[in-house]
Amino acid sequence: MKYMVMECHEGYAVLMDEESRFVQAANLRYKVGQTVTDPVLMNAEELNRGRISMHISKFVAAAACLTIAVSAGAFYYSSNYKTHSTVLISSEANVRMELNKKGKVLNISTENADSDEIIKNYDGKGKDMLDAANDIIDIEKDKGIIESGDTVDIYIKAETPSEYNSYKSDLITGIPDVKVKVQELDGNKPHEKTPPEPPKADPAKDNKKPDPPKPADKNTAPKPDDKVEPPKPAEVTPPTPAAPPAANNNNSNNNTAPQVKQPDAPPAPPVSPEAPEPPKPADKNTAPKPDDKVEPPKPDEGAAPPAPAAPEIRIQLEKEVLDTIRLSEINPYKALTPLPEPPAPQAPSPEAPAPEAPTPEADKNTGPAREALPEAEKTITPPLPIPLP
Amino acid sequence: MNSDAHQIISQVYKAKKDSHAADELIEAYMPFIKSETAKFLNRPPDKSDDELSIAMFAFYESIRNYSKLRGSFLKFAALQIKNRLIDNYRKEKRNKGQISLDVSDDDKPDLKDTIRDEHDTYQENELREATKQEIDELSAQMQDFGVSMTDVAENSPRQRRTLEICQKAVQYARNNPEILEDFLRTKRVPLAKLAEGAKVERKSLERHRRYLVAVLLICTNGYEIMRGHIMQVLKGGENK
Repeated sequence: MKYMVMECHEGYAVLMDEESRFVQAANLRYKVGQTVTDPVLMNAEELNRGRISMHISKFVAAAACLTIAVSAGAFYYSSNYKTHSTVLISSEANVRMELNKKGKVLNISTENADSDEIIKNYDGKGKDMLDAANDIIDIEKDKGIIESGDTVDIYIKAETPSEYNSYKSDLITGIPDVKVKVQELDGNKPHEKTPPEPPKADPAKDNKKPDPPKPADKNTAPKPDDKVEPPKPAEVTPPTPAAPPAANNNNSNNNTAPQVKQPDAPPAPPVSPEAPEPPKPADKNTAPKPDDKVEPPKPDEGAAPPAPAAPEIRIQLEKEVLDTIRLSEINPYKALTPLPEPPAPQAPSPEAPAPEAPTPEADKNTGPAREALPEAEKTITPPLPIPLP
Repeated sequence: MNSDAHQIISQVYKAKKDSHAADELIEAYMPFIKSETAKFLNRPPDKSDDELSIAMFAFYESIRNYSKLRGSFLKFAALQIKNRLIDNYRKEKRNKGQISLDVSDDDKPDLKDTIRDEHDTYQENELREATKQEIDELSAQMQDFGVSMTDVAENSPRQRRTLEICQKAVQYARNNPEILEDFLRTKRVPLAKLAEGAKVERKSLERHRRYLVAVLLICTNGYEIMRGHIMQVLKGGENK
């Protein structure tokens, strides 16, 4: 850019550029009318920029101060005035304490108008949570709402598990005279402790469950040609809610439910081919009582594979067995899993009855008959009454 | 001491408004300016040193920019001079390694004397003389309007947008000679007509009234050399 020198002074010169802009510059021995390039211009713009930057820096400083003040205020508010935890002292009158991050009481409220009298004359704001809880429990004691030795449910709602645990330990250890039961507060209401539902007797399921367990021995499985009627569903007596079934049973039921699905193929009772003769009428005494536990037949490895019995006899046998088996006592899981090997048969003696003799009475009755049976027959349990066709 | 301080401050405030007073103040404080330059150069400055010119210009800037809130004027001026000289040193550092044509040893002639001069010095001098005459005439004519070159320089638009507004107004006046005639006759800038004709804000023109006086005078007859210099302003009009 070329500049025309318009005026010269002691300390400066007035120049005109090609855009008709008049500027002041250092007078580097210029003469009026001279055309110059690259003069030292007055930095009015720089000064203006300096002023602007000064204003900006003031604004930035003010904004920074404001930000610091606001963030400090927010931090102070969140740590002192914001509700971080809630402790609910549950009794006839539920007293709710709202706590800040430091564990100090922000507000105490009750959930019904009747219990307002508890905190009517009590101002626990700013107190430590444990002190306030003790005070409230003392007030409740004075008013007769609770007594020494009673159990007080306290529900805690905390933001972190560590807070919850510290409050819990403080409350358990720091409240004398009463037993404290601390639980977690879900939302604004304590956990409703519902009793565990008793297992419902589902007839559809129960029709499948009472299926007799399938013996592990394949030889005892019925042939496909056999016409076997499906067993009638036995009456199911659901377990009472007071005595829920053992976990093992539940688990085993759940686990084995899908496996025990063969209603059309009930296992044949293990009948030894060497003893095809039906039992004598005297054997009626040996019939197990309805309450007797009848275990499923165990596969005997040492014994020869039993030949399938006549279909009519087998059906009758199944009916009898099913009638005597209480479904609640069936553990299909156990039935399906191979049982441990029975102890080796010892020398026959009257004191060595069958391993699963249901009652001593039955033992007595069956003792002589069992002794007459061969060695392999002794292991077959239980002795089933097989009426003659 | 206090009376001296008050005196210099009053002189500075007077020099802010009057260019002649500024010249007198610079002349009065020439030893101070030289001492500050000497501090920077580590030697007493010559009259031919650019640093001294720049230091004088920095002193003038100090007069323009000083306010009582900035403290002592001389300290402020010393700082301004130092900063200006540092800026100039950094700027000249880019040209390091280049030899000035004016530098000469006692034994050897000037470097520029050894180079063939393609410029016609005679013509240049003539042109400069003619330009000077034009400028003198313009300055005299501006005096009639109560405007000096320094006023115009201070009133000149700095932002591009404002400069374009003023150029639009000048262009409109060039296309309408009756406006220029009216301007010369009445010695008043026809701001309303210019704003209406050029479709610009009158307020913007009012802020740069003294600048418009100078440019409108250049656009009248008799200032051919200066009109040739300010090509940017006249380009639009010549195209039309």
